[in-house]
Amino acid sequence: MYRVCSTQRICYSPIRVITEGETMKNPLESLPTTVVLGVVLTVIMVIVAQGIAA
Amino acid sequence: MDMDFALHLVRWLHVISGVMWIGLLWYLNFVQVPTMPKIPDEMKPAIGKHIAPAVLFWFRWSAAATVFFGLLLAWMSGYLGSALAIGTNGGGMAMSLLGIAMWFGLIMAFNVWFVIWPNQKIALGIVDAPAEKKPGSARRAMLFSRTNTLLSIPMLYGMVAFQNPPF
Repeated sequence: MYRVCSTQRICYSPIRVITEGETMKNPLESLPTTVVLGVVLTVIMVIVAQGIAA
Repeated sequence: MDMDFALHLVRWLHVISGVMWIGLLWYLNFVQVPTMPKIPDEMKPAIGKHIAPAVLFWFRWSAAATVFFGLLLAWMSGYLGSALAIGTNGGGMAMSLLGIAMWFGLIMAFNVWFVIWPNQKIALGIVDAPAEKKPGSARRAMLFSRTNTLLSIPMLYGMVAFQNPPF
């Protein structure tokens, strides 16, 4: 983790750099993320169905 | 048998087998998998050796029954082709929603039989496999099970929306 710290109290870390040998976490490993992605896919499905029907 | 009654019966069979399938899928993802790390080591074999194999038996056969009765229902109703074509040849938005939901369901059933079950057999020691293969198989089974949980949300929406369209 690379951090930019202006003081000892305030630290800002906008990005987390993946270091060598470390793999990116699969979003499906998180159950809440899985449910959110399912809801997002539902919205996309409705938009696609509207487009097909139009 | 009267056709309306036959449709009624097949729809009921499709729904009860689907409830069992998705119920067990959600049990695995919302209850069993998150709870496993909290279970003492000496109690874990009860899950791995007894509960999980029973869950997976009903899980895969209810998936097969859901797909069988679902396709039969669509064929008997005369919209199997339109649904599989996701409504591109007519049927409106409801048919498109049903068609997309059907394809999600078919992908999910494929995952159950050809990805999750073969990998669970290795992970649970139901088939002989080298010990070093077990963690990879368990992870693959978990991720595809999560994929099915993700797909179950729009799949169920599409199935319900066909009967009760949103617009």
